[in-house]
Amino acid sequence: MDYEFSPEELGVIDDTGRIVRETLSAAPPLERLEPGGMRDLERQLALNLGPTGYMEYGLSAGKPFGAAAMAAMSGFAANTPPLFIMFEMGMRVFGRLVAGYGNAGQKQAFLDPLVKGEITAAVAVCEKTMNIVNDPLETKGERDGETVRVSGEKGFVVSGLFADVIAVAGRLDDGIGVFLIDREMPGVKFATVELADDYRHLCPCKMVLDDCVVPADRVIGPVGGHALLSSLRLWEDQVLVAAAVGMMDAALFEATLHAKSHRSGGKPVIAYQEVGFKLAEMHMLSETSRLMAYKAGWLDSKQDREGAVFTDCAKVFCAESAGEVAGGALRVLSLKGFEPGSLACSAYKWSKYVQVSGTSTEIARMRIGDDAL
Amino acid sequence: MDFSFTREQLMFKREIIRFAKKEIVPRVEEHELAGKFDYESFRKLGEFGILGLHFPEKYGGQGADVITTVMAGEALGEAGVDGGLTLSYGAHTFLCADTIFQHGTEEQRMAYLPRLASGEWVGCMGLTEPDAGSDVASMKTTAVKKGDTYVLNGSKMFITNGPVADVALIYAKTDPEKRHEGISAFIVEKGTPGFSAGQPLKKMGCRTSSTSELFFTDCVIPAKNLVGKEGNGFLMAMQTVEWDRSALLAPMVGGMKCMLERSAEYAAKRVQFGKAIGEFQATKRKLANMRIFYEASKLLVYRIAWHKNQGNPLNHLYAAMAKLFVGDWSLGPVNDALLLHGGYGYCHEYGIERAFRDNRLAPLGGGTSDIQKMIISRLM
Ligand SMILES: Cc1cc2nc3c(=O)[nH]c(=O)nc-3n(C[C@H](O)[C@H](O)[C@H](O)COP(=O)(O)OP(=O)(O)OC[C@H]3O[C@@H](n4cnc5c(N)ncnc54)[C@H](O)[C@@H]3O)c2cc1C
Repeated sequence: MDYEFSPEELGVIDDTGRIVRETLSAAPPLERLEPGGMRDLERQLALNLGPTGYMEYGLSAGKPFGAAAMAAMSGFAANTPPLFIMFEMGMRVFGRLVAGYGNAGQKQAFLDPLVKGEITAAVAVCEKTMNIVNDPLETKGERDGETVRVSGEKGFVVSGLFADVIAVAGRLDDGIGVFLIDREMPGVKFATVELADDYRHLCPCKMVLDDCVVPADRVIGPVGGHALLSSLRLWEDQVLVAAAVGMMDAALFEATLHAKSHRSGGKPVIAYQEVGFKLAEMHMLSETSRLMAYKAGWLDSKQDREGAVFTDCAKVFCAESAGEVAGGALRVLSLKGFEPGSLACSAYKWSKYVQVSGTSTEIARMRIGDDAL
Repeated sequence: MDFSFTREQLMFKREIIRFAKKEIVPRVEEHELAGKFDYESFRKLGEFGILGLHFPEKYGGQGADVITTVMAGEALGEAGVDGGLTLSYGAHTFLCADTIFQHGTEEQRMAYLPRLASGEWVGCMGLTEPDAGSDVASMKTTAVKKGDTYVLNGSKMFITNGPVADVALIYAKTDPEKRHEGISAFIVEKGTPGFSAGQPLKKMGCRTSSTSELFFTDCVIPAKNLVGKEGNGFLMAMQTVEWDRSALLAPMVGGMKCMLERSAEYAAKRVQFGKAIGEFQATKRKLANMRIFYEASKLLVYRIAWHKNQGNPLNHLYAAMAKLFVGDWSLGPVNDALLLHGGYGYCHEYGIERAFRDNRLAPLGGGTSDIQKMIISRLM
């Protein structure tokens, strides 16, 4: 047992937060960025983070995903939930897919450029609904000599509006395959998904594949059973768990600072139990979530079979806590929480996304219940 | 980071669960219904080595590390041992005996620890008073030095093991003008003239632990019964917080696992509307809530154990968070377990209503949830 990070891990964790902050401060605000600008920012982030080793977690053989990855990721998320979710859902999940299921040629072709920020990536799994548990994939690949012809529709592809390469999951032979599709390939069309508010920063799109011819060296799998989709979902959930922890940190930080400096009735508002105790509960939730996130990461590094159900537990706890903490922060901040740039306000919005995205908290609970039975 | 336990720790845990299921659990219902302390179970814990697990062998212990010691408590809960017995064990081992071990003289250690570790004697700790609970520094019990004796006057309230204890570790003011710095700790043996225990209090839960008031009326004890230095009592009491937030919470963590297992078993067997209730999503949701609480509380509790095992100074923030979480957040899943069992949950036979009642001490004993929030908000 060990509840501490090594100095080397702490270095990556600290550097990640700092580099994300620096990169963001040198970039235009997200509101002003079109998909092309988002792509440049994502590449810049990958490039800047490269030397820290951040990008390698789960992608490089010598650097398994783990608790430190979760800590570094939550540090990134605290600065910018939308950019984090977009970056990780694309770059890391794509990278882990190639690292975990791709062949040597695919690893060589994609991993290094990804880590260096030379390419941006996205992963397309969901179809008509966000739910891949109850509804089987309709996207299908048919073998045609050395190629595979892919047809189908993907309903919500985060960073799909700009990603250079998109991993499209679909049925292939008797299993599930992934087709690594270049943006410019014939037979692929993209359409914007309109989202309210900051959610549009995810640059999501719909994809329609109509007899898209994919060369054999761009096909991963097929993998029988649920393994591949389960891995994808697990990795996505890990991203969302880290996002939740980061959001809580940001919201709590903002609310605490305010409660200590804002005075009412001659004393800082934190001195009132109604405020101080609320912050204490929020702090407890965020710290407990952090431990849940770390353990989920650690179980992954151990390839522990408890990892999946534990990650469901972490997903539910962290996502719901993020909602509680961000909501509490807004109450403590009062009107200040509704000002532009409020971290709590952003955390509140994104906590809702985290609850429904990946394995929704409802579905996660059902799976935990099934496991108990 | 590494959240694993050693093979030896896990084997030991399994052994404790086996022992407790065979020797202790079958006796719970009878004693719980009667609201009686179970001497035999307590002594069995002693024989098995649980009461003095972390003490060195020369004091009757087994020299176990902190994590193994905390795990023993978790195992008792997981086996289904009631909150009353685990509370008695906690107060005896960690609040009373451990303070003598940490701060006592060699003579005091040799005189008390072997008998406490074996379960031959029962120990208790008296800090709370009728008018001094959360605000312990306002305690009124005094210890006045007279020659080579101290004379104690006052009373203590809600003392676990009070009516059955052979030895009591009592906190009293040696300097009533001062608050925390005026508190000292003393060993008072049963039968000392001027010392008596009240009738066992009738309680909502933890009913196999005997709780009472303690009275001190011109109670004369030898000066050598002072533990540590005069004025250090509060610091000593605070040092038990690490155990309080790990070893004393651990049975509740294990208890949740026990409830989850029992609930899952029940949900798989109980048929309504033609199918097992476990097939209803509402049931799965309850099971999930129990599992999530179990996982989260375990992480918080073992974090304190790990830091203590490393010899790191107590992190008050971590301690308060663990206590607050177990105290406040256990109500939902414990209630889920009760509801999942329907009417049977409300009746005694499944042990669920007992666990529900036992659990309600969590946000109260050893510092209320409000006090934990106060600590956290001050440290923020
Ligand atoms: C079954 C049982 C076993 C126990 N065993 C022992 C034992 O072995 N030894 C021992 O010494 N003690 C023991 N206790 C005592 C226990 O530690 C106290 O009950 C506890 O610390 C609370 O004190 P109190 O009951 O006096 O409540 P109070 O301190 O009177 O509190 C009453 C209410 O006021 C709230 N409150 C108090 N102060 C504040 C504040 N500043 N801000 C906000 N809210 C506040 C509390 O949270 C609580 O809700 C035991 C208690 C029980 C019930």
